Amino acid sequence: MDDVLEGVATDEEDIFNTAASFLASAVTTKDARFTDKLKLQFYGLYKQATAGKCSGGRPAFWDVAGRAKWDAWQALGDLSKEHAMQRYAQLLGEVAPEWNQGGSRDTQAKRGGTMGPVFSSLAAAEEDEDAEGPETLHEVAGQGDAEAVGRMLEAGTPVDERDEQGCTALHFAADRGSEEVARLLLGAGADVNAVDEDGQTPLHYAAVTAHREVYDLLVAAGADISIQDSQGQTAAEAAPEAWGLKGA
Amino acid sequence: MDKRQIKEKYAFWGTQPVAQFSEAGGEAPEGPIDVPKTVAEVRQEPYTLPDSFEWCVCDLRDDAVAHEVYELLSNNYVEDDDNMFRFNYSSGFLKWCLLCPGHTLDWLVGVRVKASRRLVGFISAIPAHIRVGGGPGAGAEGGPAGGREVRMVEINFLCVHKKLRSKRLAPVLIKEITRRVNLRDIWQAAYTAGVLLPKPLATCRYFHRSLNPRKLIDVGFSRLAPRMTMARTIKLYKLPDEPLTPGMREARPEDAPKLVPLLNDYLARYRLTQVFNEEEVAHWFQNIDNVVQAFVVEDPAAPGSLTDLVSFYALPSSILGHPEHTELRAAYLYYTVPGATPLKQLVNDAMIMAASKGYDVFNALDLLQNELFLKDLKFGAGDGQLHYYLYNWRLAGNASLTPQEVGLVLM
Repeated sequence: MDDVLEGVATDEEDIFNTAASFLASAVTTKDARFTDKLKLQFYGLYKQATAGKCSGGRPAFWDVAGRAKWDAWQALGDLSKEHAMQRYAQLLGEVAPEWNQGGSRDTQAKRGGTMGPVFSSLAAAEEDEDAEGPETLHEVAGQGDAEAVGRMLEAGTPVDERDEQGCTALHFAADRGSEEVARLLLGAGADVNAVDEDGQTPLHYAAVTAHREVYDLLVAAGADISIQDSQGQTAAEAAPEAWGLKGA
Repeated sequence: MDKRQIKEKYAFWGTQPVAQFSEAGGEAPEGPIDVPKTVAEVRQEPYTLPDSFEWCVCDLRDDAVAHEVYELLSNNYVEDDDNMFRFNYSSGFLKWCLLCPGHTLDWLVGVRVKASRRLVGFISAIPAHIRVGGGPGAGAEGGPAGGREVRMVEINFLCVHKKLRSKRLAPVLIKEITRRVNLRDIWQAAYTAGVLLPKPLATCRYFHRSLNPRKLIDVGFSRLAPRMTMARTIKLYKLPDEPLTPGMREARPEDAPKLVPLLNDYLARYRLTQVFNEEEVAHWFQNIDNVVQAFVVEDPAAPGSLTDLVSFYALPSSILGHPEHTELRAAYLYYTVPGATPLKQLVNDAMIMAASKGYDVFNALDLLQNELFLKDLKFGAGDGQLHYYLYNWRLAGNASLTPQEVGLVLM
């Protein structure tokens, strides 16, 4: 637990203390939901949360209740105090969900207060832009889904089918660094030197996106390293400096 | 939400002098919401904190204190909905932002745990001349909007330690900073929030322009559509190495006298904006690595004549739990004044500068005239909305503003 917060109850401790008082009064009023077995579980978690790891010897055989309690505590091993508190409150929620009604914290408070800036990203906003219609060979190749690629090829999808930018599925496999799919497409006769509308080959794609394994695979499969794209750049020239291909 | 839910949610804000959702607009006059008070009527003693906490002043001139505030914010401040990113304002940024001209140490309010002295809460106020109101429709047309100049504070960096959120410290922090600001005879404040509170004066949206698309996709800030390739995405967002505008250079302190009229005349058209003096311009439009960058265009044909201004500030975020990347470096467009140079070109040059300095993404709100370039410069709409609020001030008839009428950028 965060010991520099010592001297002040954290949210977890507040919740745990409320839960423990609820349980104490439920047991006093002989709430039938709390069986002996459950009470032992709560006992173990309580001890772990307040005293930490079980220490000391197991009580003698004639102390049946003491032994059962010790066993429940000892079974928790190295569980942290913080986690023990959380589990205690969680277990109570399962047995008696009404215990914390009225005391729930709103998500706003959890997320960091009420004023100040907001973190915004593109991820969620872009989800609506996905193209409709059935998945294409390009998509499944890009996802690295070799099984789906195999299925579509078997069903007769042309291996060198082009998308709107003139890319083949092999361009997508190179782009996403999917070595397995690239191997599969090459095995199915894909054109290793197919060029898109900008004159770039799958080798260019592997270079630009820094996927070395696929780059090497394509070269081994006979890719023409001298092909220049419409900007006059070879794949080696588009590759990361660190690959040491430039001027080679 | 039904009425009961609204009441519960706004139990605090319902008691504050802010525009309420329930109010009819009607005849409400423009001006303060509260009955005017004097400093003598302000409560003299600080608000009471729960036992075991105490107030402190966070003197950011002391590096150790600045580091404490930095630590509190970097571990406990704003996160995205999925807890993948958390703002990580640098301590240099906090100093720039909070030790501005006219700052008051008393307004850098901290809460400590008595026993451990650990800083667990913070809120800040800085002074600003805010001009608000004026004629509708002035907006992007260029004519002065008029309105009233009001001495306000900007409230920011409200933060409570993650493990102490159930203590309800935030409302006490807000009341205490209000008290301390009132003691200096200031009665209005401007602030922003991602969440909806009573009641926004304007609601803007964030837009994002990828500078390093591969990293943004890797860390989940943006995503690659299934039918788009990374290679094309990289090409799409590639920028030139050098700015395109002749005569563009970093702003210098001695530029301030010329920038004041340039900036204030341009901002005059907005219905919520800041009015800057010379000292403020020199402070807010300077160049500090990883904090703020400001560029001016000095006409090559007429040396000494400044025609344009463009600026951005640095607000990185921690990337939580990513195996490779730990920091997302974001540049946020600050104020831009197009004069001789088209706005689009100015912002494009700012993005080129940001890319060359290693920023990953360039962000802008849809306020000022930003709508004019967002699409062309390949910005995409973000999922974050930013609401603008005023404390103890309302527009005539409780009116609100469109983003294009807003000319105020807060950090």
